[in-house]
Amino acid sequence: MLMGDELVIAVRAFLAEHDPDVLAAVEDVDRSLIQSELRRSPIERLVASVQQARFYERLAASRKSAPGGSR
Amino acid sequence: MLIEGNVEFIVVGGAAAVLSGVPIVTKDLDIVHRRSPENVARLLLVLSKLDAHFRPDFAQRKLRPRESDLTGHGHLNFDTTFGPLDVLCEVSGARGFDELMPYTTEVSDFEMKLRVLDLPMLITVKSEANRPKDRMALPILMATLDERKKSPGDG
Repeated sequence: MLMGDELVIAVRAFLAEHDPDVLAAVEDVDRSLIQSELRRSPIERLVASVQQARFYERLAASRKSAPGGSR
Repeated sequence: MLIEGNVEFIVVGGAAAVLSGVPIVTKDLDIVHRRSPENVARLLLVLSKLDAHFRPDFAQRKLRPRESDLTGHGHLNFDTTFGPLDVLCEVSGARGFDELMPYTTEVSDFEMKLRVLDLPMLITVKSEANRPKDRMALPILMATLDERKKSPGDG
């Protein structure tokens, strides 16, 4: 049974062969956002993520209800 | 309420990613539950209290889950009083609760303890699912795993 790193090595090998663009995109990720998240506790991360999603929902709803709406 | 109802479940999907430090936004909760008769009964009770009904619900019939839904193999998408809840009997590779348990970590905060799918298995599941949204998520999941290795003390 593959565990931990072995799993990811298998995924990387698969992507290298079948989907190299996805593998290349790993290097393009903004690591500062991740490092910022890792300074929070797991539950703090979840609460912040849900609050952010709700903010976006409210924003989208207000745009839709505004005269002319949004596309 | 799932915890209060003594439901055995594993957090998977976007919420598992967020709990592991992946900087994404999620508004729903995906879980894989143990499909034992006792646990399915507990889950059904909690779903009833949450007013869970299948989504999308275009005809507004508010269809409720049945025991047979929760003992199958499918993905059940619900709207609840707490927002969207996706109850997955299995994820890719026909992996259910028992198969995923070795790939979980416990996240605790005060009195709350959550069993969460770990990042390597989450990456594997997303890779196997191979849907466009899963492929898009892979780079940030893999980058987060890299960063976590640099900060081993992270919960």
